[in-house]
Formats: sequence, C-alpha cells, structure tokens
Amino acid sequence: MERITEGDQIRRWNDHIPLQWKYTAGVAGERFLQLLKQGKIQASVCRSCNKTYLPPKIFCKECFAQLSEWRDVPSDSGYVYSFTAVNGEIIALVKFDGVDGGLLGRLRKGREGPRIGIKVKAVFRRKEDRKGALSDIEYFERTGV
Amino acid sequence: MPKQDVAIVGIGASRFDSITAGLSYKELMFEAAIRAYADAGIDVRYDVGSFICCAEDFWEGNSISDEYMPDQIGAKLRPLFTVSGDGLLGLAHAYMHVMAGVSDLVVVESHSKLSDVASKEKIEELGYDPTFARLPGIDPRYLAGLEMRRYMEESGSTHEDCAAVAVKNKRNALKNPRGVYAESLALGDVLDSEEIASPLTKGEMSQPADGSIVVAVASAKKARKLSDKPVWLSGISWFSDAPNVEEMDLGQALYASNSSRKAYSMAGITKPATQFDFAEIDDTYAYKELQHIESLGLAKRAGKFVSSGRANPDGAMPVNVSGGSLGTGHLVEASALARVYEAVLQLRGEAGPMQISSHKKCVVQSWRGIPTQSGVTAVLSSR
Repeated sequence: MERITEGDQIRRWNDHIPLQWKYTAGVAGERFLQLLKQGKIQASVCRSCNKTYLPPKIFCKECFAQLSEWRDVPSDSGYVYSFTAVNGEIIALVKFDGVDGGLLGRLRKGREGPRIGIKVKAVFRRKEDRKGALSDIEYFERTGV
Repeated sequence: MPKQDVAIVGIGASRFDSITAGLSYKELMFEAAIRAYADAGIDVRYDVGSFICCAEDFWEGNSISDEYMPDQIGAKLRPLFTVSGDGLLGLAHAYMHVMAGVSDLVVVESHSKLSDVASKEKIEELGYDPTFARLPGIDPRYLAGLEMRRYMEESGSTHEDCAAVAVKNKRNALKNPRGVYAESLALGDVLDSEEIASPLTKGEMSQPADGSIVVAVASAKKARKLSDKPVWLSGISWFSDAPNVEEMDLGQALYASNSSRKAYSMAGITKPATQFDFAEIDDTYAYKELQHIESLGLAKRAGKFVSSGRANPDGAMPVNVSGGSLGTGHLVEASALARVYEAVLQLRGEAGPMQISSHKKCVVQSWRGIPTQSGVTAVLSSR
C-alpha cells in the first residue's frame, strides 16, 4: 500500500459540531424539579415491588407497572454511598434511607475527610437562586458527627 | 464437549498506535480487513454473506457513520449493519447470523480513530443523563472514581492491588507488537501518577489508541473446510444493569456476572476458575480488571489474586497476557475485538513471545465504558 512518508504532507480537516438540545424532563422529572425548587425531595413508589425510585420515574423497572404514588424523602436522611475528589471538588453519590437510587452532588469539605457511609443532608440554595435544576441542592453536608 | 456450531476462522488487525498519522479510519479498516481475509483464505467479494460493524456516531464524528462502512471491508451491495455497541456485541450478532442461517460466513469489524477526536471528554460527558448526571466543570471520569472506591470498599481490594493490574498489563505489553503503552513500572509510579478522580490515578487508566480489527466467523461446516485451526465460539451473552448512575450497583459488575452465567451455561463451563486456561477481559481502568475477575468467577478475591502473581502469564489464570487496554491502548468500541484478536492468537499457539503453554480455552469479556453497566462475555476454545 502506498504510504505518506513526509510528516508535512499529512492533511487534517478541522471541523466542529455546534449542536443544541432541549431535553424534556418529563412528567416525573418536571414534578421532581419543581419540588426541588421548593426545597423538597420526592421519590416515586411501587408498592407491589417495594421500590422507591430516585430520581423518580413513572414506571417500575421490576414489574413494569405505571407509578402514580409519591413519597417525601427527608433531605437530612442521606448517606454517602461513594465519593471522589475531582477537579478540586468532592463529588458524592448520596443515597437515602429506604430509597432505591440516590442523587449526585457536591460534598462540602468538613474538618474530617469524607468516608463511605457518613450521614449527610442536602443544603439548598437560597430560594431566589433556585432554578428547578439538580444544582438547586448547593451541596451535601455531614450531619451530627 | 462444548458446542461447535460457530467458529472464528480469520483475524486481522491494523497497526495500533496513539496516532496513526497519515491514514484515515477507512484505510485502517482496509488494512485490518485484507489481513483477516488472507488469514481466513477467503475472497470477500464472493464468500461473505453478512457484515457487522461496531461503532458509535459520536466517536466517528459523523451522524450517519454506519453508511460509510461498506467499501473498505469489501461489503459493497452486501448486507451490512452497524451495532452501536462494543465489538464483542458484534461477535454476538455474527453468532446469531450463523445460527439463524443468514450466512455461513460473517465478518465483524470495529475500529478506533481516537486521535481524530478533539473532544474525547466532552463525548464521555454527553453519555450521561442530561438532567441528573452531567456535572458541569467536573471531569466525566468522576463515575470511575465513585465506582473504584465503592468496589474497594465492598471487595477488600486495596489501591495497591489496583495499581498492580496496571503494572502487570503494561509489563505484559512489552512482548506485544501492539503494545502501544508498554512500560516497565513500579507500583509507586502508578500510585503517584496524577490523580484524575480519586482514588483513580492516570497510571490506572487506559489511554487512547487508533486501530481496527476484523474477525471472520463461520458455521462449523464452513470452518472445517476453511481452517485447520478454527477457534470455537461456544458461548456468548450480553447484559445491561441500570442505565442511571443513581441506581447502579457500583460495587460489582452485574453485567459481567449475568452475561458470564449465560455464556458459561451455553459452553458447559461450571468451574470458570479452573476450566479456563487464560482470560482476555476489560481493563479500561485497573480496578475494572479486578472487578471483572470476580464477577466472571475467575477468583474470589481478585486483588490478592493479581498482587500475588496468579494472573501473570506464568500464573494459575493468566489475565490479559496481551497487555489489555492498559498496555495496548483503549480503542473505544474496538477494545473488545482487540481482546478477541489476542485470544485467538493464543488459542492457535501463534502468540509469539507472548505465547503461554496451556491455551485451549479462554473467556473474553467487554465493558462498554462509563457511564454504562453493559458488557458481553464469550467463551472461546481451540477444540
């Protein structure tokens, strides 16, 4: 096969793809985000499978039922499932007592380093700064040591 | 005796490198294809009845990338489709095509031209759920950090055990002509390298490479006619765990345990820890190899297993003798076909300086990468 043998003969065509989307949060997502704006966390529930979905969805992945039952999740009932230090921040996957799933968010650095299993609560932004997005939870922070 | 319905009868690989300057992805595919067809002893324009490519549009930079696949692998005006998944999933489709009688000779291709991709991390970020898991300003590999910590917590494997995987695989790659990232390292070199998403360090992450692999798959009858060294595909299965990060079981690789259970049952494997001679499995990140060793049933405590040398080429269960993705580079969707390529060389006894002494049966396994919990397991044997 013929080959390029001189480096300066190599041509590369530079291009970029400027695209935009407007992702629909959906019935469950919309409800969750509107409540988040009010400082509340809600999950959807499948009674027959004993499953509580967070972030919520309107279908149960176990029995395929349509879900219409909701449950408040106390914002101080979280615990750290895992965490990582990345880009100078600590990102944690926070799970909540009795809830399947969880929420991703920043973990506020405390005096002690984070550990898997520590209890945390969600700290919301000031009301006027909330946008109905996951970032309305400014960070999670450790509760009573 | 395991099933002998479908066999690999030809393999070809292009050059692998961190940059394949001067060659387009189509030319890399052509390079791999002509080698595979020469290896199989076939005339692609007459003998092959079905073609399967494995590629993702975002890595290709083209919104209908599948349309551009036929000509350079000899598939003009032939049945061809592209699987949006890893190369081993393509092999699963080839298995089905043969079993269903679609064709008695099927070609699978997958490639990487990652050196063309200027926005690798952005593409990884776009794999996440837009509402709940894309974290602006945060390296998308955050999930690998979360997963590694959770895996270590649940398994008891240490950070040193994870680093030992990188040391082993980069050392193994020294004997592999495709060992783009071959290196002789100490544990400390890996542990002290830049931390990307703690506890994960750069030395524990496979780095991008370019390359293409083509595999020809045939029915038993055709395979016996074409090849005196057919490699039997005696079991293959695939599985996905939760698509949402929040629901993932980060401690264990459920896709690997579930897909292996099915593949093993097809292949008559009841004791994977002793029935396989070696394993070529996903090691996109060093901890992933440990997690996969456990989920595939190759060892109960993978950390100790690797650290004590039992996964070395001269150990009880050699894992990634080829150097894996850590040693040969990460080829996105083609990484899994690279594992198949290396496994076939071993099974045929053609692995040169990498050749191990017992090489009749092996497990090959893939993971689709972050943020997925999807993967494929296959059982290959030389008899």
